[in-house]
Amino acid sequence: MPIYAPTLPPAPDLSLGQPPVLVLMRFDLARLWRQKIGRFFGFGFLALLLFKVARIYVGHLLQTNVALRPMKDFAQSILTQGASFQADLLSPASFLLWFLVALVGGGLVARDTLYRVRPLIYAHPVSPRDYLLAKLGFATALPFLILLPFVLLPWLMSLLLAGLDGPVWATAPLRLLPAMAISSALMGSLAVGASSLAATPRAGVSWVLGSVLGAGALAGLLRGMTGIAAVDALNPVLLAEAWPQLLVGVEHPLVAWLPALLGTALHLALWTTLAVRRTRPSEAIL
Amino acid sequence: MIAFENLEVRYPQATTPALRGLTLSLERGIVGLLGPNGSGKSTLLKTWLGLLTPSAGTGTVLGVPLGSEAARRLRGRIGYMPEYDALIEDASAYEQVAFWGELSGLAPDAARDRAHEVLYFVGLDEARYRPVSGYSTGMRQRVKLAQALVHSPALVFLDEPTNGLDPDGRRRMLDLVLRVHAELGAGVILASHLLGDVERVADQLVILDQGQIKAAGSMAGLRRALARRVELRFLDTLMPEQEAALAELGTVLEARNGLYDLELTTADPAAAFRWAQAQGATLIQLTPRHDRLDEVLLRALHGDATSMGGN
Amino acid sequence: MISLDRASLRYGPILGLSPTSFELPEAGGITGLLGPNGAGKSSLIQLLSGLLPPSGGEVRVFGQAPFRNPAVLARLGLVPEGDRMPSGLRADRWLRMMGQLAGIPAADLPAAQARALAIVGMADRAHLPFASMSKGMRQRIRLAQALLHGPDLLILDEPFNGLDPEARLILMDLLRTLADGGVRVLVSSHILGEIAQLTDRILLLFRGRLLAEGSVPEIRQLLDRHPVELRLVGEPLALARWAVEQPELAVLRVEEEGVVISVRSPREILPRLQAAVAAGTIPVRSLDPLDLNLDAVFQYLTRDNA
Repeated sequence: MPIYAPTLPPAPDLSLGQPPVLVLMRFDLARLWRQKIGRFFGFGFLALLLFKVARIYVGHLLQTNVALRPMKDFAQSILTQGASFQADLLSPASFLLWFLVALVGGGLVARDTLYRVRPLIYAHPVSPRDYLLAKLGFATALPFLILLPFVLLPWLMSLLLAGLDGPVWATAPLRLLPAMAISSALMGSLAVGASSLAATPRAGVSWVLGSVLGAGALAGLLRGMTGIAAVDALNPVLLAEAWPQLLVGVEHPLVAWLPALLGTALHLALWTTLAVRRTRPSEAIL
Repeated sequence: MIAFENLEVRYPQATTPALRGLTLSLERGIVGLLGPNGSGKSTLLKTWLGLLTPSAGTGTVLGVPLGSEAARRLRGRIGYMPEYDALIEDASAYEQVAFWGELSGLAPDAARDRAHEVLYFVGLDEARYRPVSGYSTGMRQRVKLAQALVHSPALVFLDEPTNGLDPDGRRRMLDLVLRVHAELGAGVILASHLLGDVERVADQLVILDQGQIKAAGSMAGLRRALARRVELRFLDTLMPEQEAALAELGTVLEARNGLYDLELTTADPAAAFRWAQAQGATLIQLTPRHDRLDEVLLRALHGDATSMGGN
Repeated sequence: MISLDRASLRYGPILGLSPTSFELPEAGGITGLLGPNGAGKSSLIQLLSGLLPPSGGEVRVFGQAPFRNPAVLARLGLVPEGDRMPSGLRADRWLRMMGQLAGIPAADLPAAQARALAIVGMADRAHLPFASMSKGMRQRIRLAQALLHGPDLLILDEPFNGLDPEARLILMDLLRTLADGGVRVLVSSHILGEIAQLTDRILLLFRGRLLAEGSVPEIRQLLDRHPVELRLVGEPLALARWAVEQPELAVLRVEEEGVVISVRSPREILPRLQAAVAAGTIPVRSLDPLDLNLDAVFQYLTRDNA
């Protein structure tokens, strides 16, 4: 009978692993899952989603059920089916979403700074590009995935209940999904960039919130002084809300096309550059 | 394991190279790396990990030439245990060791299995499921070691692994270092400020100062035996007249805490027994005197830079 | 010079030091204060340097209680643990401030400062700010601070932590020189090798208790439950033949170059071994007591008391 010594087996295959970007993102997701704030926001967004879906269902009942007909006039006022209604599918989540992005995203890079794990990450077969892609990817995917049911569920319900004439346009996802992607990328890059400036996760949250509110306040101030409406494009909250409006073609969007494009590009470039500079390996190992 | 030929490394904007004229050949074993702070140890590590490319000269690590495309993949074959607490405080030991395994290129399932195995290897039992923020210093050091071993590297770089440990923890960590080489077959590079640690486990030594190698070679080669030199200790403290009589035996070079460092007049160490017998003293220690590691170090740092070469 | 009579220290409910009694004699020299983390080294230092009053019992330094007692504190120099200094401050200015706090008259201060800096070998570099000094240099300035007022007793808490080997050796030499000059030095450390290089006299603390006090060979002799291990280098068979005839032999292990014997009473067997070698009966080139060192003594003591 052989005796099996408690030593380690031969070297495992190092080529079967997942790409480092995915590994890093999965680890961040596992952390979010562990934390209590994940559950709090999960509940908040679920409640909002139910409210939205219920509004469409009630509207459908009002239209089809004769007993409820007296209320139809009132219902009509809710069920405006124009472009602003489509854009509005995304908007109520806005503030809650910014808050979530700040709470989760603020710690993404700052936590690695605090625990000093970044040098060790770069001592593995991970390039700074992988690291940044993972962080940006996670911070962008999070708001995107949360917003996804807000577009798809009402759209699906409206399609099922009323076909092409439902309150939600049949083509709405084609316009709203790209808008969501742009807004999410804006949120994600801002969160990662601000987080890279902080030394602790808590400070990271403050950095994100401060950057969002600070940029908003600055935009408001400049607008008050100069009277130019385009200055609003500096405000990331307005930008994130403006993109769905622009893409569905609302009559009076919060920010016009050109300022929105320039403002978004500016924010993306600024925060990504900051993050790149603050997560270089030369800063890390020493 | 590692061979350098006139290697020079410089940082992008630096005027002087951080490492220059490194010629070195190390065999697979446990290599003690000594050097003051800022002597170039971390630059050397970054070069090994492929984070810096040599600006002149050549070098190979584990047979892979530095600066080549293949050198980027070297990182998967090197384990690194940092000096500072590079632990993910809110994750358990198991979770993070598995995470580091995956980052090295292990498949998720393989990484989890390996994480359990290396945690047993370093002696971390049930605590592995708790967040590391509640761990003692000794446990934290062992998690860091497990992290460096999870992908079964051919070479591990341990930076001050006994930092902050008390005598018991220190002994256990050094035993683990010996086992890493003996049982896992990995080459070990041990950077330490504690000469005693290096002396206990290392079979080769590299002394680095101001970016240059001041001495390198096998421990036995560097710590040469000193002819006719012995260390004596007696069962009872010598009386003054006995101490004076030591001159008959040889020249007392140093006497401290009852230990006498002597250069004998004769080549036969048994003469010390005869002397003690005649003087009515009892020897409890008579050992040939080798260079101590601190002497090797000081000579290397301040004497002429004699590289003793490989083996 | 130092005496404790059932002195203890508690921090609220947390034990720092159990009631401890010992006495260190007047003579100079270096005493090592040893113990694992949390053994009570820092607690003892806080009591001796008068930072805290004992929770019970009595502490006497130079015959008086040190707590808030300038008469004692004026004769005592302390180098506390850690490396936190105001980074932008120049070392000489910091020293001047510490000298003023120590009550050195302004007229004597430059001389005292120059003397302390000369001892630690930093006279030419004291104008540097702390930020541009290495850890070893800062540690020497901290030592100079403790030497400003020419103390009779110098207490250092973990002074070697984080120093590189050369800085360590410099500091050890400094402490030896000071001790030779008549200053009593008390050094705490959890690294046995450092203390073993510095001194033979130790105070060993473990779990808030004083376990042993004295020189390493003395303490080793008290540990009679553990046989002493001796390695003899010479012709193995001849040595083994001689060893088995000795009644004190507990264990015999034959090695390539000689034998390792465990003996219960070294006092009995060593003279006989010596006589045999001197008479040429057995060949011994080297005699090495394997567990006479601090490491082994520490291990035995803590294991027996765990």
